[in-house]
Amino acid sequence: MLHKTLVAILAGCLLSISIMLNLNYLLPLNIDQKLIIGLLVAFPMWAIAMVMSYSSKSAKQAWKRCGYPLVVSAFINVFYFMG
Amino acid sequence: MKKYTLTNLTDAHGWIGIIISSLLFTVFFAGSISLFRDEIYQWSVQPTQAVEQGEILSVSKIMQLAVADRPFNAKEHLTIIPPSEENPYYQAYVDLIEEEAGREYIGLLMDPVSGKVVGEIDQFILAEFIYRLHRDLNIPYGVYLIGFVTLFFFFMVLSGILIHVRKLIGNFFQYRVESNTRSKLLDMHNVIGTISLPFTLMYALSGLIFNLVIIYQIAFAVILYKGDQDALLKDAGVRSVEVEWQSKPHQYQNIDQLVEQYRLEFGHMPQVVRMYNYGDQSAAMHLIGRVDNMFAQRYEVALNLSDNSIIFKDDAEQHSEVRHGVDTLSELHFGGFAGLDLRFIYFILGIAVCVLIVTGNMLWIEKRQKRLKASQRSVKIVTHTTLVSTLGIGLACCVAFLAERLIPVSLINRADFVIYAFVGSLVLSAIVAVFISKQTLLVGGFRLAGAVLFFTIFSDWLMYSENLQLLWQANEVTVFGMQTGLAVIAALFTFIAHKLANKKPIMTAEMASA
Repeated sequence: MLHKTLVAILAGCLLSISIMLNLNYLLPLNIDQKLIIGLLVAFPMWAIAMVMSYSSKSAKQAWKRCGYPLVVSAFINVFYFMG
Repeated sequence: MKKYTLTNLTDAHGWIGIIISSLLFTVFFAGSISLFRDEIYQWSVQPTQAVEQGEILSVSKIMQLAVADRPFNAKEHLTIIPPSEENPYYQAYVDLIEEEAGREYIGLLMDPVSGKVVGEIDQFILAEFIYRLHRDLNIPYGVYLIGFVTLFFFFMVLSGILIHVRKLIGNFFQYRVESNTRSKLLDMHNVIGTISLPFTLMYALSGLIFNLVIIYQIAFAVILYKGDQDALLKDAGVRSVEVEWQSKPHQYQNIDQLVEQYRLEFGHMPQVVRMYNYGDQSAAMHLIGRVDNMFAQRYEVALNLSDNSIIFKDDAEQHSEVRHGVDTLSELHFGGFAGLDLRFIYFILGIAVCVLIVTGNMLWIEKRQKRLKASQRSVKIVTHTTLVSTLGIGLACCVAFLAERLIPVSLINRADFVIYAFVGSLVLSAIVAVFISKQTLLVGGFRLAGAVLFFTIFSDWLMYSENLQLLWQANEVTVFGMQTGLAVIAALFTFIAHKLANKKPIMTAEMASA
């Protein structure tokens, strides 16, 4: 349970930040609109990542469940950041 | 959904629920009371003061009176909160020269008719103390602690939906009266959880944004804004007034006209009037208020007082969506977008969530008791913690109400004593809970809480009957509304104690057997 909690908090936080940044790049809106939409999406994303983590069989599976979307999202972050 | 997914989620739902239950109960219980923060503040202050009838003084006059004979630091701020339906007094926050005054600022409560200082704002701490208990437990970094508790609460809500999803519609209002204890508790937990779902989701999200927004703020500032926090805050609609001190004393003739001008333009008196460099030619005035007939729309205007030029103006046409979004969440969170009736509904829902938390803990205790291998010590600890963090918090709040009334207004550090009364009662209830049976504790706790509240109302009349009569004649009824509310809650506590003592229903039997 402790390991899953670590994944839930850490991976959930990183995933939500990463998705929030991508939304900021992708949405064709004003910056203030993107910020508030990102904020409203980020916390539910974090909570969903927690659900994914705690519903896993093990911490390893939890890392996989949260890690894969995180890696994909992080690549998009890097793509936009470098571009 | 796979079977192991459901099992893991149920396990996590139970364990995390037990871990955060004490803090979560405190947040919801204190939050429910805080819905009536303004009324509690009025109840604290009004009976202690004689009522003055007549024309209300202007904002500029109150400014002069607030800084008179005080080591006012003109290079800082002077903030005036005009009287409103929620608060009949002028409130003035005066920044002081720290070397002379020995403190950074003073918060004054001023009679709107005579301008007389009736006390310091912080003297009447109860309403603010309970609100801060809800927001940050009155401890350093408590805001982040509560933020993470809210995050786990969000998880609890989502996992609860997933666990219950197949029966969400079919068993929507199922409550099996004739079945066994566990089924009754489970039904109660599920019914309350389902009914309060939109409310709990809104509270979880808004609470998270209030308490943990710093995480995303840092991430955005570092990654998107390359460390330029000011640029981020500007995009988020956070405005600040920066004026340079000129050392040229100045008399202002236009403060009241400007306040009136914007009151007429937006349909509401400014809630906050903040002065920068008050007394100098460089002075600026910052007005914040609500826009009439619009949901969660605020206006903000900053002006140079020397020539009435506008520094910035935010209103319905020109505003940041971040600011508007957060204001909307705030209105939803505090139920400020409608009248007293909405806050009663919020109060009932808030208390319902408290019941949800208690039934959740009882289900966990009941399940652990039946497991032969489970540690009975953990069951005892959870039972004790549940009792103290629920009944103890409730009792401590009642004692704090009584302390707020009984402690003389003139006593130095009066506010500290109210806090000591709260903490002392909580600690005492935790100690007593170790030595007496749970049944006795429950019955005694409810009886005592009821008696304390009845005695609080009795003390109101014993100490301030003359002022209360004057308030009644002046048609100022908030204090009497508060007394009625306290009396109803006291009667309810007494009734619950009577029921528990005679019938030993589900809750008592469970706690007692533990």
